[in-house]
Amino acid sequence: MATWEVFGRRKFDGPLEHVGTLHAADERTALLLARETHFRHNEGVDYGVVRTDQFHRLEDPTLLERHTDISYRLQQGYSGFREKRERARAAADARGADEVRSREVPNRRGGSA
Amino acid sequence: MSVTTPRPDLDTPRAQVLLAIADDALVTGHRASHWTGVAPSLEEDLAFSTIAQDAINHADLLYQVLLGAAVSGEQQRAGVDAIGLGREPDGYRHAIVCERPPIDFARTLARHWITTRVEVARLDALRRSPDADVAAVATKLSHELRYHREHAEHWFTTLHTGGADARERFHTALGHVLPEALGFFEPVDGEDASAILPGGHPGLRDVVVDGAATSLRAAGFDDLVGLLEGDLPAEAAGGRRGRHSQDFTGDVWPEMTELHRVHPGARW
Amino acid sequence: MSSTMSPTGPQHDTAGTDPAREAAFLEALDEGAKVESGDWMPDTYRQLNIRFIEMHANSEIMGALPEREWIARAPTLKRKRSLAAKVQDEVGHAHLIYRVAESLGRPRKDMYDDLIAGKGKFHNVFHYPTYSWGDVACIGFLVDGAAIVTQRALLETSYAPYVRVMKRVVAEESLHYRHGEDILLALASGTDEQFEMLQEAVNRWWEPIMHFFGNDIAREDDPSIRWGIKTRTNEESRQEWMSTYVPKLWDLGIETPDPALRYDADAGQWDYTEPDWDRLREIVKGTPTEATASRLYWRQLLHRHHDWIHDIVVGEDLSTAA
Repeated sequence: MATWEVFGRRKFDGPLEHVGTLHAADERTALLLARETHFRHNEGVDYGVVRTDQFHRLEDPTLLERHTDISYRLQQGYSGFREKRERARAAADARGADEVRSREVPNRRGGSA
Repeated sequence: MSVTTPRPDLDTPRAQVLLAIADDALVTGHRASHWTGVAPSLEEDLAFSTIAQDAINHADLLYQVLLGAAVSGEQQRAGVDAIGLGREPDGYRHAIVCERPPIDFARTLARHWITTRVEVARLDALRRSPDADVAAVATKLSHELRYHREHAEHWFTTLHTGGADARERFHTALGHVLPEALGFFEPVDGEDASAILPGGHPGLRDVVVDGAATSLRAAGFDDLVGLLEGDLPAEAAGGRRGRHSQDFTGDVWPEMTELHRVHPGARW
Repeated sequence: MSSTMSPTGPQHDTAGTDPAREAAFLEALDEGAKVESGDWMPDTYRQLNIRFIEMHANSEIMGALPEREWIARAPTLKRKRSLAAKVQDEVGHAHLIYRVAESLGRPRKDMYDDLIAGKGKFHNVFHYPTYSWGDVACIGFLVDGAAIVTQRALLETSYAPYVRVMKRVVAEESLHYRHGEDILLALASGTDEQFEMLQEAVNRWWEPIMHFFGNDIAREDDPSIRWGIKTRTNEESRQEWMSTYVPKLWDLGIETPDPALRYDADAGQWDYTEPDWDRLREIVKGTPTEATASRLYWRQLLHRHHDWIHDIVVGEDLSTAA
């Protein structure tokens, strides 16, 4: 008998996640049974199945490891904004940009760092 | 607040060997980055962009070794850029094959395949380097190169088994690239005296050619094996001594270094 | 109870022209219902979504091209790889978003071929040339900022596969926002020449950004809002962008080129000079700009030269997961 991998979504905007496996003769049976094997506690809003032997995995997961700094691809790679803004403001003052800097703007929090 | 740019002595044999390795990576990454946004499929676009970024990153790490562990922070960044973007064209030590334009994806993948094989062999040798700093970086880069290698070998197989048209195009591309790739094995000045790359660049030739020849024969490209056993064409010779083609002096170099050169000392 | 996945989404009942079902569908949208790719949907809904999502995906690709021109010219190695990574993300967004349009029944190849042939629509801001590193700052911070404003709003769109993809896109855009601000701050605190290059670029990008949000259409007249694709009017988005980005520019002493631009604290909104809408129509619907013509020319050339590889790269047997 074939085994099936079950993937489900907890919320409509969430990812399709692996939630488990089951035995079934065909996909209709697998879909029917998955409702009670994996979703009987109201775990999700959507699910699907794929035959285990049709699911291909990366043979060597160490291929995913990164050994050099990839912080430039992450938010953490950009920091020190407070100082950088201060430096730019000081440069603006040195250029005599007081009028531009003092214009009225909405009262709201700014800044990303 | 001003940053003084560290300027290490680049004329030592150690520096020259490190420059050769780093410049191969920098120029390879620069050329690979041309595919970003225009590769033959969106999926491949993403893959090749990572390869370009990794290569630029590898060059950066090797320039950092040249600067030494004592240099860090903004000084290190200024030093890396001064080396990477601040030399005259004849100061670059990469093999001429790296500076050739991508031409098309077959040519790109042919070069990617042989370049990756050279990189793997060279990093294997560098991991045994008596220079501990160099050996440590080589170990790090070797791990990252595994993906490049998987990618390159996958494409080698895909193209030679991908039907008559793809096979013919790839065969032609390899025919262009392989003779010029012998430029990787030219020695840099004083390389014999340098112990940091065991065997030197000429010493890599046998191991690279043996491995590549086996793959070429298995693919039925026996006629290409002779190219790897032949001579480096004159027009692709001299990269390790700073002699470069118009593809570098009139294309890569001016474009890559212009902003750095025109605004000395500027922070970006 | 099963629906089979195919390259263009689950197979479904495609006759989307039943008036009673359509009324019920619209009523459900008003109550916040979400639509999955296999669900029944009116033809109008399907077509409007395809047009909107295809234009979004096209814009990610065409948006990658102007910035791509600067990877080779980046002034430092750090900027070189971070710009490459940022442009890579834009291509990645196109990759994700084309798949969403595919799940509505329009094959990616058709969309892509149309785009390259110059028949695909994309946002006005990606029709312009770039001249300096100041453009990289403006595209990375201000133009991307405009895109972030409209993309955040799409987290509330009704087509569920689009929402899921936009969650990831918006998360990556937060990185791009920092990347863009970082470049802008460096120029704003740099040499006189660097500041000049930034100011000059801001002046050029101002009108394209005002155009970007589209003209002011009343909520009830905008079919994208009626059909649950957008939740905010063009003017609401433009005001939000001005409230977020103009204060940041002014705070750094960067001038905005519209002399009428001011914040009316009493009304709680920005006054500005109405952009020339004819010029916008000319940009997106008229003869392609020189920049677009040249980018498409190279794209077409590369595409033609790689006909032989497309099937090998993508394979004929596409799989799907929206």
